[in-house]
Amino acid sequence: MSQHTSQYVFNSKEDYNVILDNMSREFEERWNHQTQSPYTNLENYITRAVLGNGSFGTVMLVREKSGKNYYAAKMMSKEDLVRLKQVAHVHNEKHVLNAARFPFLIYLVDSTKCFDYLYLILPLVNGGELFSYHRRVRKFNEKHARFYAAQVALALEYMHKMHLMYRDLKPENILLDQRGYIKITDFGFTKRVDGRTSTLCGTPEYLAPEIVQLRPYNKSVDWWAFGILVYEFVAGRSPFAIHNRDVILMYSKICICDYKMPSYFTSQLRSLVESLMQVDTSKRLGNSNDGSSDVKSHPWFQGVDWFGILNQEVTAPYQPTISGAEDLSNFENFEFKDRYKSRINRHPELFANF
Amino acid sequence: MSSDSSRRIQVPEELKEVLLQFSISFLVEQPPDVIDYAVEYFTKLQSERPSVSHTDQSTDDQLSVNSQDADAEPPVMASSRRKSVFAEAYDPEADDDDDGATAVFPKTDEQRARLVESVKNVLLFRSLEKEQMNQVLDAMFERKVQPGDFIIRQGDDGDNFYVIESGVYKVYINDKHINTYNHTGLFGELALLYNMPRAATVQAETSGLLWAMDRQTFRRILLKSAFRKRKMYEELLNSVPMLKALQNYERMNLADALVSKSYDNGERIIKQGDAADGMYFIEEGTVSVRMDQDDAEVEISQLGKGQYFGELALVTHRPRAASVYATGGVVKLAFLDVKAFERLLGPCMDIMKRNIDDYESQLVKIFGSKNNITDTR
Repeated sequence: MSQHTSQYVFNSKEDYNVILDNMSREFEERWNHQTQSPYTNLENYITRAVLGNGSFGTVMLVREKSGKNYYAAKMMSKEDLVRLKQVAHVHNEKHVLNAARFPFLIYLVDSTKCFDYLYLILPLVNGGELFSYHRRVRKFNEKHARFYAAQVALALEYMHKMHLMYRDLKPENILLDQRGYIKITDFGFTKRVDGRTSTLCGTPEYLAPEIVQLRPYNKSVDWWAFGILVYEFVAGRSPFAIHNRDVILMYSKICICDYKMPSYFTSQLRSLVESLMQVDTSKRLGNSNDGSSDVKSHPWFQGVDWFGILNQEVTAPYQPTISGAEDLSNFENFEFKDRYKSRINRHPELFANF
Repeated sequence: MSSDSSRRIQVPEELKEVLLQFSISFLVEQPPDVIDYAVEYFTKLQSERPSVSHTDQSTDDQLSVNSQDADAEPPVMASSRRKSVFAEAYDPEADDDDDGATAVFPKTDEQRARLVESVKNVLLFRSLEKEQMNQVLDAMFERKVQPGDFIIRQGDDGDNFYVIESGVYKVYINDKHINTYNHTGLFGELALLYNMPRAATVQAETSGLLWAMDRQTFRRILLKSAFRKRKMYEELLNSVPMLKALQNYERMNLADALVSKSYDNGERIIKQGDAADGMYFIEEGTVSVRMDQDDAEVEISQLGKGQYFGELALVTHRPRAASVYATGGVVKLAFLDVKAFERLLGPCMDIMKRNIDDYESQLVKIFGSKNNITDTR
């Protein structure tokens, strides 16, 4: 089992670009050193509860049999992955989780498989989803939004430096830890690419125009989604959400950037959102070679203590109440789904390198 | 109400459409109370009325965010988690079939014209270039149907988009009839983007003919041609000595920023003395470069496919040194706007400005003197 510490200390006297370069080298080493998962099922763990259901499987709360550590186990059906043509994506996800190490990203603790399922063992982040908390309070004030947005910006900067496109940014994919800091999760659509790619994936309300129009796109789709995210934090809804679920109408609005800006947005927030949500990618904030610096130096982020955020020294505006590892009050109730057990190994050749 | 047919009230098309959309929404959501739902639905519909995007002159005439405030708009809160969507991966670079050929299904000129008319307002067809549109129309295949045939079924996987050529088709949601297509219409547009369970059932009431397009073919046509164009643009950018020092990522961003422009034979592209707003690459055709000499324009050179002009405009902003005209038929150019260039390269601009004198001196060596530099730099 490859236990990895999640404790990082960033020296504010160091040039952050140098720090990122070092992280990039470490990432490269881990990326090139991938191991195959053993066929051990979840025999080293005791399943305690279901934390959530995703497109391709279920996330469960598990406890180590040999110790007292709790983890989140993401269980994915091989049959579903093949049927939905997501085999490459699941390999990508494991690769990324294994190689990425950043305070605001989830990472891989262990991975196993059986005849029917693949399992990713991840750290337990039991403060719940930022999505659930946001829906509960309806809107964040700008200071509150800035606290979360700064962490997301740093996480995107790290991923882009590692040549990773995240491609599925939304509150549903952001977890809160016990101190109220974020962890971005679900790297199913994350892809390592130096340049352009063209696969349509993401979440409808967050898709950039170039994705909708089936054009090749680059990492700036993440900055478009970041604009949507910040807007949603403060407005309480995403800019292109449509009541009658006419997805095509929503895509039409996305392609011409037709949305309404709330009057209570400060001029700096208005400017940030407008700069990020540009249909013309040559005008989109974040799309230069040093794009993340442009985002971080935007006036809306003025006064942010970036190293303080990185080192989690800034007090979070909200800290989830967690009584213990098995306290699931921050999660919705999910039912256990029956797991099928085959006597034959399904698609062994497709998942040999998982 | 009078029974006199001449005095019957005409039901406006707009009312039909609004009530149809409401009915669909009601049947999909199945709320407990129709009145409460109607109040909520129409209140939100009113607040979501499409508002005209204004053109903001300060941002290079780009459609900008709507200026109206959203305060009055009831928040559209996603109470349930929003699901991710995904299409099959396709890598145009790995597609060995270089000509990108797809099967061609013959159509009469009338059928083709009707298809063009039908799809002109479809989101995914709006941004197609002429060549792409022709390929897509060629690839649309015929599907003959008999009365009672199910074209699509609610809940099934969706792979095809359909345009009705002839026939009557009924639309059902949860087994309730909500609409009828009468020899015209289209459905299943979302299937061109990704696989989503069908939202409704469509059943043929009469025999008829449909034109269909599958997602894989559609995406292949679009991405293959986009890939070829990008490759060409990157090669064009690579041919400019001044841009040689750019990193790959920067060059790709510039390729994204190139805009296709067409000029008819004899049409002036740029005028001597005008402010320089960008540079041009020749995709197809030839251009004539002319300079004013003694009250007359004298041709000083001709440029053809793969060549470029106006590159110094990107850095020096000097007025155009010559005029350029399209010659010998339609000329296709790729235009790189100086503002986009500066935005994308930012910090590199200083380095390029420092290199510009060296670049100009190289040109002088080639042409003998500054006066002989025979393009519109």
